[in-house]
This record gives sequence, C-alpha cells and structure tokens, in this order.
Amino acid sequence: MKRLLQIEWLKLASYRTFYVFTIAYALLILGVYYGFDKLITIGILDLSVVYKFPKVWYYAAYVGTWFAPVLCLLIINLVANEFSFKTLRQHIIDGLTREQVLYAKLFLAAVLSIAGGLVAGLTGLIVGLIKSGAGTDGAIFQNIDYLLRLIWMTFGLQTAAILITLLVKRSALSILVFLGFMWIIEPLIGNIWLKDLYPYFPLNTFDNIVASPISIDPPSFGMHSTPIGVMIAAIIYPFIYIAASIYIIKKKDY
Amino acid sequence: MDILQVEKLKKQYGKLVAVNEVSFTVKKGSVFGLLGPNGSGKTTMLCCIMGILNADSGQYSWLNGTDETEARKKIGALIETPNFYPYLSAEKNLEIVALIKQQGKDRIETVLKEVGLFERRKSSFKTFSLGMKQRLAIASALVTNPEILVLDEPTNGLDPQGINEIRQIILQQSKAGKTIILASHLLNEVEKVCTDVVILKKGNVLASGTVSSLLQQTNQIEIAANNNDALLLALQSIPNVISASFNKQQRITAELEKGFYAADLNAALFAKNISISHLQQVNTDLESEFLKLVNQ
Repeated sequence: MKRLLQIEWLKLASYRTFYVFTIAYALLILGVYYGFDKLITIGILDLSVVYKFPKVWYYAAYVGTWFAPVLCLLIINLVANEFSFKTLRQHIIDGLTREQVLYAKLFLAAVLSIAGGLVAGLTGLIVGLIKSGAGTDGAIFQNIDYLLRLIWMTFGLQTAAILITLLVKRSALSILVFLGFMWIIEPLIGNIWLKDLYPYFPLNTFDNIVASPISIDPPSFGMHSTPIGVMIAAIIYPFIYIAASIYIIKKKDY
Repeated sequence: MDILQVEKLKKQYGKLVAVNEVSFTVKKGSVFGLLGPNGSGKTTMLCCIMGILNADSGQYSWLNGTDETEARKKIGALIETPNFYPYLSAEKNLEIVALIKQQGKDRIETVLKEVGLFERRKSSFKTFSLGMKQRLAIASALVTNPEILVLDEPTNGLDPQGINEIRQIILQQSKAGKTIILASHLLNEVEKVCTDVVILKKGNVLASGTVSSLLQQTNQIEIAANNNDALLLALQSIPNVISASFNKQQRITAELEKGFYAADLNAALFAKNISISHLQQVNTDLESEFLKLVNQ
C-alpha cells in the first residue's frame, strides 16, 4: 500500500490540476461555511446556529458534502489520465498487477476523503471558534461522527466515479456521465417516478449520509437524522462499486 | 533455463485471428527475433505475454513458471509506444518505473547518459521529439538493469545514428548475457543482432529456428576450379547436387541437397580428380529468405 501511494504521489507532486482541485475544494468549504449565515436565508430564521458547538461538525460536514464532487472530478481526471497517457498499460508491463493499479487509485481516493474530512473539521473548528458568540449546546465533540460520515460519503462517491471512468475511459465524457447521472438522471427519476426509492439511489444515497438541514415542507432548518436504511445502503454501495471495478479491470484488454 | 515458454497462444478479435496458436521457447542468453510484416501479430503476441491483453487460449510462462507479476518486474520492456506522464520530467518518469519494479533510482543517471538524454533529464516528457521519447522508453527498459529485455520496434522514429546507437546497446546487453526478445519488421536490424527468430504472418508461425539455420535452408555454394567446364560436368554427375550453373563472376553456383555440405562436395569432386580453387557457402540474406517465406 505504501509503495502504491508513493507511486501516486510521484505523479501528483508536480501535477497542477491536483493543486487546483484540492485548493479549490478547501477554499470552497471554508468560504461557504464561513458565509453560511449570509448565503442562505430561510425566512427570518437565525442561521448563526451553524457555528454552535458541537453542531459545527454537522454543518461543516454538510457543506463538505456539497463539494465532494470536486474531489470526484479530480479522481476521474487522474484515472482517465492513466488511459490517455497509456500509463495503465505501462504500469502492468512494468510489474503491477491490474488490481494494484486500481487499488492505488482507491487508496488515493481514501486519502483524499480523509483529507477532505480534516479540511471540513478544521473549517468547523476555526470558523466555529471565531463565530461562536452563539455559545455551545453540549459536549464539544458530540457530533464529530459527522466528519466520519463526510469521509465515507466522499470515498463512496469516488468509488462510483472510478467505476464510471473505468467504463468510459475518457476524462470529459466520464465527468459528463458522472454529473449527469448525479444531478439530472437520478433526480428526474427519483422525483417523478420512484419517490420512495430516491434516497436509496446509487449516488443520491451518499448525499443523505449527512442529511440536509433544510426542509421545505414544512419550512424548517436544523439537524436532521439519516434513516438507518440509507446508512446501510451507503455502506454497501462502495463495496459493490469496488467489486465491479476489480472485475472490469481484470477482464479488459489494454 | 528457459526464459519464456509460449504454448499455443491464441488471440482473436471477432473473426480476425491476430495470433493463431503460436508456440516457441526463448532460451537464456539468446537474442530472439520476432519477425513479420505489419499486422502479422508481433505486438499482439508481446502484449499477451506482458499481461496487457488476455489471450483467448494457450499458455505462457516466464522463468519456468515464476509468478507473472514478479517476472515482469525483472523484464525491461518497450511495447509499441513510449508511455509516460507528459507533464513529468524524464527523471521523474523513470523514478516511477523504478518504484514499480521495486528497485533503487541509482541507475537513472547512468541510463539517461546511455541513451543521450542526460542533458534533458529535467525537461518534461511532452517537450521531447519522437526520437527522444523512444530513447527515454529504452532508458526505462534498462533502468533496473534487467536480465530480460522485451523490445517492440525499438528503433521506431530514430534517425540512422540513433538506430545504430540502439543496435550497439542491444549488442552490449546481449554480450552481458541478457536475454533479448526483439520484434521488428526491419530485417537487417534483426539479422545483425538476433540468434533465433520466429517469422509470423497473419498470426501464424511461418518458420522458426536459429538465424543461420534459416539462412541455410537453401544450401547454396559458389565454386570454381582451373577448368570450370569440367567442373560443371562433374557437378551435374553428382546426385546430391540439385542444380549447377555459371554465375556472373564466371564461377559456378550450385544448390546442394540438405545435409550435403561443402566438405562432402569437395570429397566427391576429389574422387573425380577435380581439385577446386574456390569454394564458398553463399549467404542468402534474411530479407530475401523472409520475402520468400512471406510470399509463399
């Protein structure tokens, strides 16, 4: 695992796209969370609650879920690079197994997800301390599990992104398929025909690990819990995506 | 020890049979040439044995059955095109290869010098010319000082000087006891360096063996004596001589039966009281032999 990550790091260390995406991800979380009480206005609700410990972890993680797709686009780009540079082929020739080529990307996705969770955590901590004029609502680390949920959400979504890229191969097309599925196809099907199943859809499930604090009907704002079924689905999906990815990478010709 | 054994390997694309039940063995220390016109299945064959294509049937084994991945780490290979990260420098690209092969990076400097890219080691791969890319790919194959080299058209895109340099590198490597598998359609390239060859056409093996045995398939000699007319008559009376006729040099070219060598001929002529002044094996070159086989 260490060697696979070392190899990935050699590729990333001087790759500008990597810095653009990771820095953008961090700045977006920081910026949106910092301005959350101004950005979103729901009636006359006081949104300063998002900076109250221990709920900061929940709200920071929620903002993190918005930008998880940024890391997904990065991983799509990195996987598609291996096809377009034919380095996937070269890695196998040089002495990696096909599975190892995939594991390297999965480990990288895991590292990116953990780093993403840490960014959200630090954002919550710092902004929370700056703006916590609102005081605390209990033990400071009580809701810290939401950072773990964010990490799993980001990782799960990336396993889906990797699977799509293995099938599609081209960077731009993979991104189109991934975003199109997540933002257009799933919401269309889910909102029109299969309302009951929508929370369990292959990509949408991940969005529900950290449930949105916003509800429209009736309008309210606050910490919402995630149904146990959604949690279970969200835990299972990545394993399916990884298994499918292993199957594909072993079967294909390069 | 056998470096590589290939047994009835077959790869099909729909109806097209790219490699049709090809079998051969590569011995340690040999320079093994894989010959064939474009589209004969050379690269497909190499892709199968390097694990990037899944063969439909048949088997291959490296180093008497060593685990495939472990074996590949011990092979320096250049298949089809140089594949590197365009934004990374020559040096960094080789570091990745060394890391995959679990070897140190101490030889990077040496191999970059060897292929003439040391001055450009910090330049990114995308700034390289076609020839330089090819040179980097060769450096990459050599970077771990492997015991086995698999080179697919290694002189692709190189200028005549570059071709010669690569040929020298291959010869040096061979002298150092390395086993080399070389695919090429440039026959003089193969003839100059290979010890064994397999000739492919449309995925089938047309011929295989040592280069010299292939060249000697037509057993021709050039012969002369003080009295060539008498010699010609004598030759025509020997049953093992298939044909004999004057050539441009006013000597006689004779085709002999297989297994009947120059020395046998000499003895037969001596018995007929003809002493010869000139006797030489005619070297057919690989190109004419190859064309003959491929056009059959």
